[in-house]
Order: sequence, then C-alpha cells, then structure tokens
Amino acid sequence: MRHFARDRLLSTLLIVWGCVTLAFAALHIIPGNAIVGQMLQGGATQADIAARQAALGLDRPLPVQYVTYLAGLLRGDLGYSYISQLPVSTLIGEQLGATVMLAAAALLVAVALGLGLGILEAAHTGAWPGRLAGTISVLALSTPIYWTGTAAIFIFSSWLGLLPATGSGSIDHLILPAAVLGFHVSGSIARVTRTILTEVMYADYIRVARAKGLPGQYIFRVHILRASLPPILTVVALQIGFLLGGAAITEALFARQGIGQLLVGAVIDQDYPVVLGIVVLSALVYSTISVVTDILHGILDPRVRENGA
Amino acid sequence: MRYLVACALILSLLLAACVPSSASKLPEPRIVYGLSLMPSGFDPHINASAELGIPLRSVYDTLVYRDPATGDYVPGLATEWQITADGLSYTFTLRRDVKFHDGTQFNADAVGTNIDRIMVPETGSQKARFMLGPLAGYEILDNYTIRLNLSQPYAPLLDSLSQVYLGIASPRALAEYDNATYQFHQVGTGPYKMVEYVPGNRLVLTRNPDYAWGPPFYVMPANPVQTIEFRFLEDPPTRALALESGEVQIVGEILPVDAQLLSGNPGLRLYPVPIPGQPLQFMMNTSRFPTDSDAVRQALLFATNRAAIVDTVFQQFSPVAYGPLSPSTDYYYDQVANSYSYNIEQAQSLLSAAGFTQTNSNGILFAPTGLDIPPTPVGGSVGDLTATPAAAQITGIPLELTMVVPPWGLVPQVAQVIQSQWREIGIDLKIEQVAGLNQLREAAETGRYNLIAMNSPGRDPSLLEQYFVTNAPFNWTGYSDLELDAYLQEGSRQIDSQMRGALYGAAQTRIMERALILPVRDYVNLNGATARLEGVAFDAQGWFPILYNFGLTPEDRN
Amino acid sequence: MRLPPGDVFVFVVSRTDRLKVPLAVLATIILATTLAPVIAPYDPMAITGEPYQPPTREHLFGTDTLGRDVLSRTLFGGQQSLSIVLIGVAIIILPGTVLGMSAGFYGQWTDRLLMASMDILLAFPNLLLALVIITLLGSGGWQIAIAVGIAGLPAYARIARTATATTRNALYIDAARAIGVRSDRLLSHHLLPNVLPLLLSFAAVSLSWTMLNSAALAFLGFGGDPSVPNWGVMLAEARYAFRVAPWMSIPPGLAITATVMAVNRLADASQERFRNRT
Repeated sequence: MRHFARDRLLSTLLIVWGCVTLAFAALHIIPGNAIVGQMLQGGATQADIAARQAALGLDRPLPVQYVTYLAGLLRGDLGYSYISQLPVSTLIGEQLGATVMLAAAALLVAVALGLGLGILEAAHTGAWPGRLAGTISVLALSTPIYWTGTAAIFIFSSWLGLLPATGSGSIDHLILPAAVLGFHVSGSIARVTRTILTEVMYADYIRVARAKGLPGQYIFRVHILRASLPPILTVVALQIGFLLGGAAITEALFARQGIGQLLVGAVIDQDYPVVLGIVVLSALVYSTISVVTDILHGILDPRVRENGA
Repeated sequence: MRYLVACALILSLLLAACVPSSASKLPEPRIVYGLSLMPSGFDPHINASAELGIPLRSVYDTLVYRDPATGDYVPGLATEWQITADGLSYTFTLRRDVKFHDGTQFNADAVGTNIDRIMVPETGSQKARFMLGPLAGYEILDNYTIRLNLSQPYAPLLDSLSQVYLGIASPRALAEYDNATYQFHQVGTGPYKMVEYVPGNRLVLTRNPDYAWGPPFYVMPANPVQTIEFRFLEDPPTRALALESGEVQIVGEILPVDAQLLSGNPGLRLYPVPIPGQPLQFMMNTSRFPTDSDAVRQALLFATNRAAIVDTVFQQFSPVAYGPLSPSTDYYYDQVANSYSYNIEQAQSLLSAAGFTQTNSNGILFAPTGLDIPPTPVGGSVGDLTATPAAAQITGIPLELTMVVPPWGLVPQVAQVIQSQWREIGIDLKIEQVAGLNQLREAAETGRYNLIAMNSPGRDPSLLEQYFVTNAPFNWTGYSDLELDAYLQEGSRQIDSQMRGALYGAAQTRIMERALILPVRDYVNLNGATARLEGVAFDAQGWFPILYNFGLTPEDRN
Repeated sequence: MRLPPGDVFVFVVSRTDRLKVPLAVLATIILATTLAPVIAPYDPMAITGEPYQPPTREHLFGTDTLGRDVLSRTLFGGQQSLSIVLIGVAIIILPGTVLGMSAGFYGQWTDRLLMASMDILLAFPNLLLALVIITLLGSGGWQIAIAVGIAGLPAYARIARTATATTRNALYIDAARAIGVRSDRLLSHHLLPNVLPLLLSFAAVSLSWTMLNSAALAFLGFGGDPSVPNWGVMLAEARYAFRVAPWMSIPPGLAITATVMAVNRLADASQERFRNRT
C-alpha cells in the first residue's frame, strides 16, 4: 500500500510537470500575448507595451521564465492574469465549483444513460428495445453539442417554458445543461458497454455457466457485469477528460460560469498564466481520477492487481 | 440503477443548499440585462472592453456628459469648465453636493486621485490612460476646482472625460483595494451602486436612492427599476430565446433574423441603436498585390452590392455604409454618401484597366503575361510585386484575394456574401477566419491579406488616427500619405470645431478617393426588451444604456 | 484463433445482411460526396436564391441563411467532413493500436514509459491540446484533422492497453506462450483477434469524436474558412435559423448521423463475424 501511494505521488508529479512543460513550450511558440493586444487596442505606444512586458518579467529569457514558473508552482503560486491582474488561483477557484457541479451532474446522466442504453442494446440485440437503444446512442454520438443545446433551449425553455435557459446557481439551471452534456457523452459509454458485454456474453466460461443451467439473471449480474466493468470503467474515466471540452460549449450556450468558458476565453485572449493554471488543474484532476480508477480496477479485477499494472 | 437515483438525490440536495441568495434581498422591481460577452476584466480605468460600460456607466459619473440627442457637452460632476485659448489647460468647477456610495465626499482631490491611478504605469491601464492623450498633469486650485494641463492641444479630451473609462471612483475604495480586487468592489457617485460581481455569472446593481446630481437627460421614470442583474449571453441565438422566455428583460446584439421575428411580438420591443464610429469595414492592403492598385480597390467597391448584404445578413436593420465614419459620428462628411454605388460595368472596366483582361476556364479573371500592371500613382503605397506567384510568368496572374475576418458581428457571413458576389465577375476570394482580436492583429502583422475586417466605435473621429496615419498601430491598409497624416493629426490638435470639420472632411474624402476601405454597413446594436420596460435610452456613445431612466410597468393583473 | 493477413478484409466484405446495409449506406455517402461536382445542382458557395427558403423545386432542401443551396452544400460538405474524419481516425487508430497493445502486452518499462507519455497527453485538457495544435499549424481542414486526431489518440491507446492487459493472461495465451510462440507473433496472431472487436467498436466511437470535435473547434471560431461547406459547420449555421427555417438542420444532421450509424453498425457486425469464427 505504501508503494502504491509513493508510486502514485510520483506519477502525479510527473504528469503535472509534463503537462506544464508541454503547455509552456507550446504557448511560447505562439507569438504574442494578451498584453500587446489589449494595450494596442487601447492606443498604447510600443514603448509603453515594452515597459509593461518588462514589469511582468516577460522580457526575460524563456528558460528563466520556465524555472520561475515551476518554482512558483511548487509554492502553490499560479501567477497573475495578464488581463484582470487577479491571481490565477482566484480566477480558477471562482469558476471551479460551477464546472464541477455541471461535470458531476453530466457524468451521472452520461453513466446512467450510457450504461442503460448499452445494456439494453446488448441484452436485446436484434429486438426493438435493442434497436431503439442503439439508435439513441448513435444519435448521441452524432449530434454536435451546440445543436442539441440550442434545440433543448428552444424546446424546454422558450417553447414549453419548463426550465430556465441561462444562468447558474439553482438546480433548475443545472438540469438542461447537464442533460445536454450528459447525453453528448453517453453515446461512447453506451457503444463501448454494448461491445464489451456482447464479448463477455459469448466468452467460453459464460457458455459453460449457461450449460450448467445457472439462471440467466444470475449469470448476467455475477459473471457478465463483473467481467465487463473494468474496461467500461476505463472508458468512463476517459470521458471525464472530454467533459471539459464539452463544458466549454455548454457553458457558452447556457450562459453559465465555469472553467470551460475561462479556458476558451484565456486561449483567445492569450492570457497564458490562466491557460497554464487550467493545465495544472486538469493534470491534478486526471491524476486523482486515475488513482481512483486503479483502486476500483484492483477491487473489480484481481488479475490487474497481481500484475501491478 | 437504484444507486444512481440515490446519488442524484444527494447531489440535488447539495446543489439546493448552495443556491446564492444575495440578489433576492434587493429591492424590487428587478430586471435581468443580457450582455453579449463576458469581459475578462471589469475595471473601467484598466480594462478596454466596451461591454463593461453597459453596467458601469451608471455606477460612475463623469466630469462632463454628452447629450445623446445633440452631442453637446453638459455638466456632470463639473458644473462648468474653461478652456484656455491655446487649448492647453482645462479648468473644471466641481459640484459640492456629491457623495460617493461609501459616503466619501466628492471633491477635487478625488478627481486627482483618479487621474493619478490611471496615469501610473503600474495600473496597467489598457484604454483610459490613452484617452487622456497628452495630459501633462493637474493642479488642484481649491477644494472644488481642478485644472488639467496638456503638453499639446487635444480636441477629444472632453469626449474622453464624458466616458465611463474616466469615471470618478471613490478614493477611499481605491485605497482599500488593489488594482486587481477593486473591480469587485467598485464605488462611484452614479445612479446605481454595485452590489456584487461574480465573474462569468452575474454583476448586480441596485439604485442609489441619494442620487440627485444627474445630467438633464437623466429622467426619473414612474416605476423605477431598483435592481439590475447582468448576465453574459455569449451565444447569439440564446439572446432572443432568453428574452422571449422572460429570463432577461433586455438584451443587446440580437441576431437580425431574430429581431425580425421579435418585431411581431406585442410583448416585446426592439430598440435598434446606431453606434457612432467606424462602420463594419474591410481595410484593403495597399502594399500587397493586387490591392496595391487603386483601380483594383475601386473596382472592389463597385463590385460589392452592399444593399444585398444588408438585406441578407442584417435583415435591413442597418444602413449601407459609404465612408470611414458612420453618420452618428462627429464630423461625419456626408459628401462620401453613395460613393461607389454598386456598378458591375464600372468594376469590370476598372479591372481590365488594371490588367485583368482575360478569364480562365474557372471563370476567374487574370492578367496575361506581357501586360503591364499600371504603377501606383504618386503619393500612394509601395507596390509589392514580389508577392506575385512565380507561375504567373507563364499563365498570367489570376485575380485572387485573401480576406481575414474575426468571428463576431456576423462578419464571416458578410464575407461569404461578398465572396459569392465577387465570384460572379471573376474575383476569387479566400476567406480566413481567426478566433479573436489578438489573432486578427497577428494575421495583420504577417501582411498576408488583401482585406481585413476591423473597426472601432467612438463618437469622436480622432479614432481614425489609429487606423490611417502612416505609423499608426492599426494602419492595416499599409497606406502612407503625408497629407492624410496631417489632416488626422491636426484634427486631434485643433480645438476649433469648424477647422476640425474641414480637416476630417478632407480626411474622409481622401480615404474614399483612394479606396482604402470597403465600408459595408453602419453599426446598429439591435436591443430587444420587454414592452413593460419603460425609458429605454442609450447615451451619446450608443453602446451604453441610461439605466437611471429605466422603469418597469407592473404586470397587468387581469 | 489464427488470423492470416487479409482476413479482416474478407470479414468486412463478406456477404452477410448485417454488413450489407451499413456498407451500402457508407458507399452511397462516399459516392455522393465524391460525385458532388457532377450531381450537385449549384455551386455550393454561390448565393442562388433568397435566404431561409423552405424546400422548393429549385432548391430541394431549401436555402441556407445566406441563400445558398442546402442540397449542394450537403453534397460538397461531405468532402471536408469525411476527409477530416478519415485523417483524424487514421492518426488515432494506427499509432494508438500499436502503442496501446505494446504497453498492455509487454508491461514493465514499456508500459510505464508509453503510458506515462499518454497520461501526460490525456491529462492535458483535450480541447486545449487541439486549440494549441491549430494555433501552431494554422486553421484549415487538414490542420483540424491533425488536431482532433492527436487529441483523440491517447484515449484510444489507453483503451487498447486495458483490453490487451486483461486478455494477455487468458489461458490460451499462456498455453501459446508455453509452447514457445514468439511474442510479436503472439501479439499479432493471438491477442489482436481477441481485442479487435473492442478496438473496432472504439475506433467507430473515435470516428464520431473526430467528427464532433472538429465541428466544436469550428464552433469556437477556429474553423478556418467559413465558406467551405462542412456538415458540422452547417449545423452550427442552422442554429441561427432554428425558428425561421428549422428544416435547415435536417440534411447535414442526417448526413452525420447516417455516417456515424453506418460505421458503428459495421463495427458491430464485424464483432459478430469474429465471434462466430472462434
């Protein structure tokens, strides 16, 4: 157990460092930054702009900036936004809650819907419930989120007047965006669930169990689901990474606050400290999720534990 | 499945527990105002966004105001002002009866503190600092008299001082918070107080009951709105939907096609507001082939059916633009109106005069080898023929143009209509869309474009200096003309209004004579509001609502 | 259990009903797209009528927000949409399968090294990865394809690795190893056929990801030339006309759904074929 903890800590550090380095390199290949744009728009002279850049330390050589950033990171300092001049940690902190809420609710929808559709499709291949489930999951896979979102606002908010379309804060405000984002993600979960379940269903030991005359319900719960869960879990965990991208669009559509909006805004405005801060956050979230997934994997599938993967 | 339901229940309980309730305690009636984008910073002294002024215009007062109807300067925090004959010094007599929202007394020291804050480089002002132009310093003559001194005359100063970016903030609040945190705790003297700002979510204002020093066009309505919550509706189709469902009572920048529908709804009202400044325009690159030729640029103007663009993309909600300034701008020169009206024959003859005499199998015009492209007339740009593809030597030079557009303001749609129109007379237009202002500027710096869309709002024509003076930061036409430079620079220095009129008239004429830009439509902000909202009016800059006048008729109980 | 080279192809084109329909649909879509210059009634970029027109005899699917023919734009739209998907999926599955299976099979340091680099890419915000690549390469069709491909690669590699890691200790693999089958042969002849159904299914899912993610990039303003017809972009434009011309969403929406559905059905059907064979 101590080995496990040490390994995970090391790999978290490695992931954060790798992401920051990747982001730092990429962002500095791209020319320009927020300051130049904002100041030029306001009417600044080149000298003013240079002075401002120097005040922020942007005139120093890249390796110096990199080391300074990493040193700050070790102290928990993510730097300051070029535009609002606020600490990046504050900016992220303000937006984090809303996105976590949206992502958690959407994931819930996605897992419930995805597993449901996948199981239905696998259990009733060829029959109408299976076909219906298959069609729904393909629709989820093939409809862009901005289209579903606008359609949902049009139907449920503008037309039926059931739910608010804009803003965040209450549970009412969460239902539509979470449903839209969850539906978007449920498609891949459903498809993979179906495939894995069918694979397992036809595996030799399941055939043996059937031949032994074990009841179908029992086989499904004890053998099939149990054997299918690890790969399904991997797929679900991977979806969490995609939620942020979906959240960016969902937040824009439903006028919600959140990290996705912050990220897209910061990329377009070239507010790089904010972008780097979100990269760090994302790396930490990912590491946490993979620790949880690994533990769950170990519980679900003893083979993985033995091999120390 | 049962576990999932249980999880959902727990989650919803958690959510219900953390619903914010700050806005619910505020006085009624309350409205929600939809903003069309989320500014990354909300400090008017620091940030440059136009959107921030929509709420903050009413949190602050300015030394002077501009009457939205006449454009005249009227007293604000200053009751009167004297300008010396040399235009170098402005003396303002201040009101004595004004208190900031935090109870601090307004006086000359407060004005001085604000100017200090804007001027010091540490503040990192992105706009306000430059609106003060050649300000050299100030003198406090007594508690209620302040004199601003300039190093050279600066005609736009009063216009600058009438804008929210130079709004006067409470010195106590400025001392209490730093440059980063002040935006959350803004304190002015205006008709509304700031309650809270939650980035990305909302900004809430509540009416200042003590406000009694507004300009003459601030009129108290019968049922004054007491609380206003601003939300950020960045996705255009959502705006009209939110208005219809009653989630917002007023919203700006509605899509023209939605505005068309709203105008048929008796419960809603449409407020199209012309925005002074530059129209939607494409700057033409005079240092890149083939737009380095006057004839080609003029041909492009003639070849563009702007009325059709206004019909298709803007549903006729905007007038066609003909010059570098829209008619609601000061010193707009009406002689440029109707210049370069749609005329295909004229466009074709200009193009063949420029050497594009033949058409290839794709229907694209080209200049065959051996034909000289007429040299650019004296005083014009440096032609950059090295940009011409080498293959041109054998096959001729096709008429290919590149246009760079930002994603906002339906500019991509306009570009596509132009693309289709130009294709019909054999011009091949490639459109390149970029993601934002920085990316637009970077594209401009590469110089690899023939047309690029860019415009600024503003009532004072001095904004042209940023675009058409030889070394200006936004001189994306690449055009250099000592006379035009002189018109524009002198225009900012000259305080005599008739002289300014003549200079800007000459500048507008020159810009259009040389066909430096392709103006498309005058900017009109399509605001939609519920019919219950009374007193909807906008200030002289067009963007900013006069929230003081807003009233909400009680709902009809029958 | 053995799968000679070329057999995959035989599976896919063998004449079973479950394969026929999706194959026919895909073939029709590809054919219509390729023949667009011949069969499309109008130039997809030309304004040929009033905007927001409902379907008429002149414009079978109506006109778009600018007055261009929706049918022609849908036909031509497949050219960009399908090429993006093709390039994107190739970038995902070719290296993804090799990387993921090697990591899962060899374990130890290979696994650690490969998965650490995949982890870094996965931990990097997916959207940002795509945006950064586009900013570096410039915006346009193939740049978007590369961006969504690279952004989708690590997730696919992870799936491949998990699938391989869970099958590699199966009895028959142990048996094969015991009789001295070389590991590269073990990988390609024994493990691959067993993880292939899952990989195919996930590749089909990746295809819809590349389709939707490329559309999302265009939605966020990184799409390049807005006049080049593309199904995802057409759906984004149709949103602007939801109330005036709701039918505008149908042709590009159907095109995307039909493609995604056909590819997924194809993956399902091949899974069935593999199973019947074992």
